[in-house]
Amino acid sequence: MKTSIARAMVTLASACMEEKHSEWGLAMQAELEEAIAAGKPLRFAVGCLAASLRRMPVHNEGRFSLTAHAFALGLLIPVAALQTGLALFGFPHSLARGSALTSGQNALLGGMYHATIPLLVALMLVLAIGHLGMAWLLLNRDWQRVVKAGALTLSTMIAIVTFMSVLNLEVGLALLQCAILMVELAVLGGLASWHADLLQPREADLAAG
Amino acid sequence: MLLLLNALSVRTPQWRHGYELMKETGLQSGTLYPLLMRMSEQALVEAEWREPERPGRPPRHAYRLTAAGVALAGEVAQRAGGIAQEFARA
Repeated sequence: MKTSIARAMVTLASACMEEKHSEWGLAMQAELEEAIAAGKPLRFAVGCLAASLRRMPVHNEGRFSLTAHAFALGLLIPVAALQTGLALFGFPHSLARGSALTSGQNALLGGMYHATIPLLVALMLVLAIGHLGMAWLLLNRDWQRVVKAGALTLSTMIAIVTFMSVLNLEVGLALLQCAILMVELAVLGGLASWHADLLQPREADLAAG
Repeated sequence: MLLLLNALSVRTPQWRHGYELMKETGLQSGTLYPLLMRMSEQALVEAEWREPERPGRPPRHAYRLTAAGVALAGEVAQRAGGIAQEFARA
C-alpha cells in the first residue's frame, strides 16, 4: 500500500515537471526503487512531489497547468454541479408546483407548462454535462473537442433562454447563466491561445533540429 | 549546495546516484533534486543514464561534477580552509 502511494506520488511529481525537465521525473522514478528497497518510499516520494509542486509556479507550463486546474475545479465543475442541482431540484420543479407562474398562466396554461418540465430538465442536464465535458477536455488539452463541447453548451443555453422567453417565464437567472457561460468561453479561448504559445518554442526547436 | 558539492567532490570522477547522495549528505529528495537540477543548469554537474546494477530495475540517473564544478568545489574548500585557519589563530 505504502509502495503504491509512493509510486503514485512520484508519477504525479513527474507529470508536474516541465517538458524540458521530464528526465528528472524519470530519474526520481528510478531512484524510488532504491527508496522502496531501503524501506522509506513515502519519505522519498513526498520530497519529490513537494519539489515538483514548488517549481510549478516558476515555469510557464506549470503556471498554465495550475490556471487550467483552478479554472476547471474552481468554476466549471461547481457550475456543472449547480446546474445539475437546479435541473433536479430547482427551477423546473417550482414550475411544476406552479410557484413560477402568474395566476393567469397557472389557470389557463398549467397543463402545458407541466408538459415542458421534462424538456427543461433535459436541457439543463445537457448544460451541466457540457460544463463537465469542457472541464475534462480542458485538462486533457483537447482543444478541438473543447470547441465542440463549448458550442453544444452555448447552443443549449440559447435554446433554454429562447424556450423560456416563448413560454413567457422569468429569464433573469437563465440570462445570468448565459453571461457566466460567455465568460467561461472567453477564458477557455485565452487558455487555448496560451497553450498554443507554449507549444511554439517546442515546435521551433523541432524545426531547428 | 555546499554539502552536495562536497559529497560530489570527494570521489570526483565517479558517477553517483541520487539515493546514495541523499544518504551521504542527509538531504531529503525535495532538497536534493532541485539542487541537482540547478547545478546541472549551471553546468556544475553532469548527468547520465546508467544501466541498473540489479536486473529488473530501471536505468538510473547518475551525477558527477563537471570541470567547472570541480573548480568551484576546490575554491570553496580553499576558502573554508582559510576561514578555519583564521579561527584557529584567533
